[in-house]
Amino acid sequence: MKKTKLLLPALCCLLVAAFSVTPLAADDSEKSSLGGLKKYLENSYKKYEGNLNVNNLDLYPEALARINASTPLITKKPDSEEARSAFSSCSLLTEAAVLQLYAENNRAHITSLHKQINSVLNQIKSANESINKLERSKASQLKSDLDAEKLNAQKAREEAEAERLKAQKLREEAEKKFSELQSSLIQVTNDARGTIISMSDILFEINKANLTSDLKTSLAKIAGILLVFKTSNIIIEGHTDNQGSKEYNQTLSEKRAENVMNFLIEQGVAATRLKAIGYGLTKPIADNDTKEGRQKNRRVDLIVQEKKKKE
Amino acid sequence: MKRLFSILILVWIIMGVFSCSSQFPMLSKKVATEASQLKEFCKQKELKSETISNADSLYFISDELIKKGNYKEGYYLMELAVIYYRLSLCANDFIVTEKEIASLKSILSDTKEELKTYQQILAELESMK
Repeated sequence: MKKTKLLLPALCCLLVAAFSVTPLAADDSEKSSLGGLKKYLENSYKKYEGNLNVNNLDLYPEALARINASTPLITKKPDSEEARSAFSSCSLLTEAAVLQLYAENNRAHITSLHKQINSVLNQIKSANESINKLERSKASQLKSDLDAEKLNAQKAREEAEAERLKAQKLREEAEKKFSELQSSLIQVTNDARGTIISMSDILFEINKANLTSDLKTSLAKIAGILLVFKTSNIIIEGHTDNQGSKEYNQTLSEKRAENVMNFLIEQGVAATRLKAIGYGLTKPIADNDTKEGRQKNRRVDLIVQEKKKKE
Repeated sequence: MKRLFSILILVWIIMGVFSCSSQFPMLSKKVATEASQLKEFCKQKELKSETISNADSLYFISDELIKKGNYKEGYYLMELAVIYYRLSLCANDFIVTEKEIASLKSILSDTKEELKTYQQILAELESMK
């Protein structure tokens, strides 16, 4: 019995010592009396009062009640075993109650953090929806732009095709009209270069570059066709036979080509569409040893070429 | 009448004496049950700390005392063991909530960063509009 009586105070001292190293141990002087414990407990409660759910706090009222109940005993017999034991109980219970207050305050903080996280998540959701909406709208805009582009390209293709057909029709009409000029003095042929209207030198004054009235009549008709068939350029080539000097033939061929060009300009054909070249005796198309051959070689060719389209 | 009154006083005194002498056995039994439940609960939660070791030591000592009929000493120590178990549970609860707060703060910070990124993307898209 004596042994156990010694055991109780010894254990109480051990517990109080252990209690003093708990993480939430307050100022020792504050917890050295029941009044200090009560103050410590009440201050801790007041600190977090607004955040606490009172229904979850069973230790706070219990600790307060124990402190109040132990006060007469500890005041009357402060050095008794019962008083020391009661004080230890009050100290431990106070510490447990304060920890419970802290944990309860933490739970309130946790609820608040959950709310904040949810709020931010909602904002993310909203931002994500706005992004998706904008992306959809952008994609839709891109699609409509692409459709419009396709439509424009189709329209352009159709217009180009219509223009090509129109040009082809004009060319065919021009070729038809050119072929109507066909006579013993004017030959109309087609080759890779275009339509070639070959005019005999009989249409020029003998050994001169002047145009005869017959040639002027034919050239006026040709000019009329060229004014309609505007998508063409015309190269006017002067040629001679091999009779006479090379220089003489060169000069004669150049002058005849130039005169034809000037007449066409007078008739309203744009100078930019015309080009006159004299080849002299360099490009015979028949044998210069015969009279017929030489006759064929003395000529002025109009080469009607389709304008090359700019890329 | 005087005799009856004397008998009643005697009965009252006997009952008082009986109740005083049976207070600690009853209280110690009650507090031992509570301590046992708390001990089991801490065991289930796998709580290990110096506080629990102290509580366990107190529990075994007081249990021995109660078994030996030293109810008063046993009661006080057993009650201390109960408080110690409760202190351990509160401390554990506090630590768990502290950890949860730290984790949630980290999540909140990450989530805010994520929101910032989304808001930047949104602002860029809106400026491109």
